[in-house]
Amino acid sequence: MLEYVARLDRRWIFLMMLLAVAIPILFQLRFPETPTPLAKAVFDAVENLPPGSKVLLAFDYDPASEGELGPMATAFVLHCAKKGHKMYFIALWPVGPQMIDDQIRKVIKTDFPNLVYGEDYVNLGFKPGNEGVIKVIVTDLRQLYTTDDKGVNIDKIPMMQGIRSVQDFDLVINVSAGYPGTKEWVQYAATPYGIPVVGGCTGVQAPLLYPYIPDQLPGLLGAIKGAAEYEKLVVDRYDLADVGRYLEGLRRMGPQLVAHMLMIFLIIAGNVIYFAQRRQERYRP
Amino acid sequence: MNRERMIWTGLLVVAGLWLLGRALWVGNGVVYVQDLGDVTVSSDAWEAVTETARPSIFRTAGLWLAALFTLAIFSFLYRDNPFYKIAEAVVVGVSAAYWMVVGVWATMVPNLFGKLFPATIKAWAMPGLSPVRDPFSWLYLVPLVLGILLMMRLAPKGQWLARWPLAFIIGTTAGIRLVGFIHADFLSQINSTVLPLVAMESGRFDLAGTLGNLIVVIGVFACLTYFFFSIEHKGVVGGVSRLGIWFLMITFGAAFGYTVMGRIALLAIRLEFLFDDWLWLIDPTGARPPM
Amino acid sequence: MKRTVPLIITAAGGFTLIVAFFIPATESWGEVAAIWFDILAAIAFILGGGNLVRNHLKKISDQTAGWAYSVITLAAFFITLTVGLFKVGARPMEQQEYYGQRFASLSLEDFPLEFSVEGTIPPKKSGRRLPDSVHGQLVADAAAGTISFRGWMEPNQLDDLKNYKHLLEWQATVETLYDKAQPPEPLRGKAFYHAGHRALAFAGRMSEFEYHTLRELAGTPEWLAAVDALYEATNQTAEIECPADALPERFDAAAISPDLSYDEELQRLRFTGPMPLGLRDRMVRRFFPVATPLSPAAEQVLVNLLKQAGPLSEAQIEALSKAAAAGWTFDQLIAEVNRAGEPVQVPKTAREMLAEKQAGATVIEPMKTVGEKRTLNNLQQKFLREFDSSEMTVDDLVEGLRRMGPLSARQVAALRAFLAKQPTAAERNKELGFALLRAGPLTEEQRDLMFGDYRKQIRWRRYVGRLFAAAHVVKFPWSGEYRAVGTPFWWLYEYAFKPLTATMFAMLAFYVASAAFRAFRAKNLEAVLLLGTAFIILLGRTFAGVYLTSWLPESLSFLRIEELTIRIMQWFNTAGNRAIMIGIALGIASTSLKVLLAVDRSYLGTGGD
Repeated sequence: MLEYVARLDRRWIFLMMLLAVAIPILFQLRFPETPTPLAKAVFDAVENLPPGSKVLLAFDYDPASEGELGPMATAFVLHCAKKGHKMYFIALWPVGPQMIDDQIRKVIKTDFPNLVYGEDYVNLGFKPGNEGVIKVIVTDLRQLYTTDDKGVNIDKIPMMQGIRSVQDFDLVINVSAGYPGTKEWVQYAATPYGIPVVGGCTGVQAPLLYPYIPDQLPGLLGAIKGAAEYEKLVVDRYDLADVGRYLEGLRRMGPQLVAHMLMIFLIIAGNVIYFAQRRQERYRP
Repeated sequence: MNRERMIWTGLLVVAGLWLLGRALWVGNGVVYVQDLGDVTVSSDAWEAVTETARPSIFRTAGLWLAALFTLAIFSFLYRDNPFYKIAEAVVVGVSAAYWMVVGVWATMVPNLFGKLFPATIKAWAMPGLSPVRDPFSWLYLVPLVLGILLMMRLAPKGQWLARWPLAFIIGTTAGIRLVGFIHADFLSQINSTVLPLVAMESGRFDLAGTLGNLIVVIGVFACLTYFFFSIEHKGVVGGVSRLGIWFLMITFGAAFGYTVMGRIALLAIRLEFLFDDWLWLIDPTGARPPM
Repeated sequence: MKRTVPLIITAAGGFTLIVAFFIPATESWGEVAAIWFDILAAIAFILGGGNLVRNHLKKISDQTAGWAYSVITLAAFFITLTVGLFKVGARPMEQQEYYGQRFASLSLEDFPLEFSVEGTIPPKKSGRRLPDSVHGQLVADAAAGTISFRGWMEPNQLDDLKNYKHLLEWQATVETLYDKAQPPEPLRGKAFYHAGHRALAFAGRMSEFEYHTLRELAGTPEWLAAVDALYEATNQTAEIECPADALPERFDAAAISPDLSYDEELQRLRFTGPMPLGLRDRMVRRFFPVATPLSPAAEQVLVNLLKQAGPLSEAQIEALSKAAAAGWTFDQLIAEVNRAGEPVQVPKTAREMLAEKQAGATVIEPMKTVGEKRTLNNLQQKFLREFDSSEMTVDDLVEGLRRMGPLSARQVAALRAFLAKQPTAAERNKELGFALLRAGPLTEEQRDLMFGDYRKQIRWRRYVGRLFAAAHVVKFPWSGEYRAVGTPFWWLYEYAFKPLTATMFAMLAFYVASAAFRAFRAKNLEAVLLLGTAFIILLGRTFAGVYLTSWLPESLSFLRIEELTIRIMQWFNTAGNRAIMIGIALGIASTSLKVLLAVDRSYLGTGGD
């Protein structure tokens, strides 16, 4: 019996994982959420700016990490729009512009049709070069961004007046799936020039970014839980708790909980079998 | 083997019949568009109720293909198979071309050719560009030449020329990183670790703060001691470096926990896509009118 | 040569960036190096594609195992590349198309009119040029003491010139020049010269009179040819088929534009000249007017109509009145119009300020107040509150308000802008219908009642859209967005690239589960620490942690799992990762230095070629 379980075909484990995630989604399990200090710090960084502040939203992620980061990006755009900030979108990942488009469609076009492109928000698009791009735009944005993503001359965009470099922004919000991402924004913008940067990142990156907190990075949303916490803060503040589109992170915490339980169960089960086997071996003549 | 095949065939037939029935009765996985004469815009099932939107065959086929691709990738969990291989082949080709197109339209046209030949680029593809050439635009000949040299890697001869642009890329990367890492990851980190070992909060002793600062200072010190392999890990040094290992283990445990978290979220969004966008089994965002 | 040059390039590139960091004067060198780097990064994408093609072609030609998959890869690659590079299906960029105008090619040298005023261009700090937007158009004649402008000056050019130097005399000169460098009165706002596009442009249909006025401005053959071409281009008639039943009720072509007509016999809609975006929208909103707030009585009428058409639940009635209340109110509109009636601060022209200065003023305020305070009087407010768009157009409304009291142009503009942003009555009814549907089912008849007008509106909009497209000549076919929604390139992204890459990463969830079962063994203290931390994090980052330890009293709250999670991350994880970070930073710094100082040359490869 023990032997059989120990040699269990891994496809059964795959099936368990599939069910652990699928069932809570199908039954739409929901759990309450309590925001942690780091999420509050991110929220405050956006909330405490006066309306009309210039916020650079750097979306450095792709479809592969959209599951974790999409909800954060949505919540960031929603928060900035509600607060009346000017939004400037850029991307350091080739697929970033698609992520920006998605969020603009999902939040701005749907719920803020009165916001005017070029006056309230602008999509500056993608530039390759990773940290090389940050390095340039942190002192002179127009060197690389001669036009916006639509090819409109940057000088003809009303909200670009008075923006010479990243240093002219009141806040940089970075949603990051890896390299280049929050780390590079901290290294090349926050640390040398003291530009305030807050971020949202994947679970893999989050622990690695903690050393920057709080001196170089005042707030950080880690993985889907961070997204859910921030979402909760935003929807509570602006009374949007019944708009399904804005509860993606909170919704995803359901499968998350069940799957985490499964992981703990698997680790414990693996160990129980291991120690039981060792004991058997020891007593075997 | 035969029995396995029978079971699978049976399962697939049942699933296929169910899907067919669902598609016929519910009409799931349909993507709607609204034709406005001069433009065709994305639409949804709500608009379809008003009979102003029509199903788009192009996009609906796409959605079903996306669902099949998703399943094809998942099928690898059971066993390697041709469906997975096809999906893999498609993703390699599409993504390489995608990056190329982005590189051309987002950088080469506006930032390279747009600088060298502004009037031409303006008249052709970017009406928003200024047609006036910058006095220093000749500087952009350098990356153009380096770029052509880089392409020599593909040529049968003269591949050594590609080393020049490569050398430039390596040199600038090294230059950018040297400063960035020393500043943000070394100096600033040392700076952030110089913490008061007795923390005060508005004039009163702060137990949690003190404890936290102590742990961070001792932890960084212990781990760094462990990293100094040049010193023999014996006696006090050995003890401290062992403490360092414990700190690192906790760090790795945290990293593992967070990694698991992230992976599961990625799986969740794919299943949500299948259940919501494709099968219409759930509707958390109210994207469709109630049946 | 083969090894030395690369080493020099490496060192030069790297040290430029390092020096730029420490010496502000050299900052721009660092920028240049970084820009070159970014451009090369884009070219590297092309290299990547080339490599892929080469490798897979080799696989196919060698017929190695699985070469058929290489065929699929290459097919996917070339299809994506073709539709992306050629922007297949992408509409030209709306902002750049100059809808409502026609162009005729005319180079700046051939533009025959030059306007000059007395004055000089003030010197600027070294290197500073005149704004790009007036390049070649603005010339100074030092001997004659004049500056002259070729072409008709556009407002943005005026702004750029005024910003060139903040000197009142200069700005006043530019303003004078701007006023001079305009087309003659009957053509103002209609004839343009876009120097950047080398195009003479005309907005709307050019009349005989306008044609002759333009022709008389100059006699050069290039000019006459351009004017002739423009006259012909702006007098082309576009027509589309449009069945009479698609026309909105009370359709009146003349009310929209004299250039619009409907041929009832042939059932054709015709428009002469280029159609601006605004006219397209006006053609819809003129006949599908704005939704005015539903009065309780009107709401009751609607409920009764719905009840006649089928069953209606209490929940639906409630949902209807909730949705109806979500629209705009007359109070908002009145407040908006009154706000526009406040006197406003506008910047003075440079000439006004200069006149003040010359008159001896020491303090010159840059702003002045214009207009007097105007608020809607009671009669006007009452009239406004009775506005019902099904009985009265917005024009009639404005006319009525004017009759009852003073109304400034800004107020009229605010009123129109406010109403233009609101949904049409048909769109509002559609939203009400959606609210009803969310609360319960609707019969076919009820749906017709709620959605019928919207159906008509969209149908009419479709014909208007077709006419609009037919009346437009695309100016920049390549200006579209390569990834615009609906294009094949977008399709490949949305339905192949996105699901495939996302699912590949999602697979890791399965492997991490399998690894957890097989590999994580609490064999020693280190492993226990690792697993213990992982447990706490896994629990603490979901509601499970909160649930399991919420029984702990407040005094022991620091032991709650979610609190432990925060502490572990904030203290232990920070310490561990910081040490790692410091180690890596030192490693990167030393590797970088080795590369820059040519101690490490491994990146050059070992081959001798």
